[in-house]
Amino acid sequence: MTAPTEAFAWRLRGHLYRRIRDTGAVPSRAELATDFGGADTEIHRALRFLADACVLALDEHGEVWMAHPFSAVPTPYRVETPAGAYWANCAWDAIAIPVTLDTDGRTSSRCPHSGAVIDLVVTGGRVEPGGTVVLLPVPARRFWDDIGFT
Amino acid sequence: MLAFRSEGDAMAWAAVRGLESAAAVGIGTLGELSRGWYGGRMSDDWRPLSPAAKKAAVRSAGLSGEFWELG
Repeated sequence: MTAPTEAFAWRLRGHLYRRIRDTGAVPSRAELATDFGGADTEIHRALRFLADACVLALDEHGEVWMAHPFSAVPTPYRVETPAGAYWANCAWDAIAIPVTLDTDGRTSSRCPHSGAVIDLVVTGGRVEPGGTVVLLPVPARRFWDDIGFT
Repeated sequence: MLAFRSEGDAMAWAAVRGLESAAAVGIGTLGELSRGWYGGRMSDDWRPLSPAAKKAAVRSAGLSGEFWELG
């Protein structure tokens, strides 16, 4: 990828994240082309570049699936913040969204083993309730081997 | 990555599914890790962390061991 095209991709990334922050939704490629400007092929190439750099994950249609820590699709982790509500890719990302947005947040889910309700609360960077854990299924060096599974 | 009420619950769930390489991490530690791993991501100037920066974020959160070796 040429330097100007890489620069386009990084600018697109910034726009994408601001758009998610402001709307709570991950935009489609068509929406990006309209809002940010550019032909679909150019947007698609830039998103592929960002995916190859492990910045995003795309679905089988080349649409943004994960813009970490945000998810384009509903998951068990819905994060409520003063800035808006967002889908997190996983429990770690439910913690990471308030951190990313520099705000507080709350996510209600159920423990997959016990069924107990878990209210994850991030306040001023502090995460509660104590004793709660997140299960990381594979070691860190394998996080991106199958990002959907991770 | 799923949230569990306790480490015991998480590891029991993992054992049933044969997730032998899994690790349970406290949410406070993940909050610390998130600051290094995700901090600054809203900035236009953000770029992926270098391997050294990732290792520093892991260390800063108090994490170590083979699970956290980044290759």
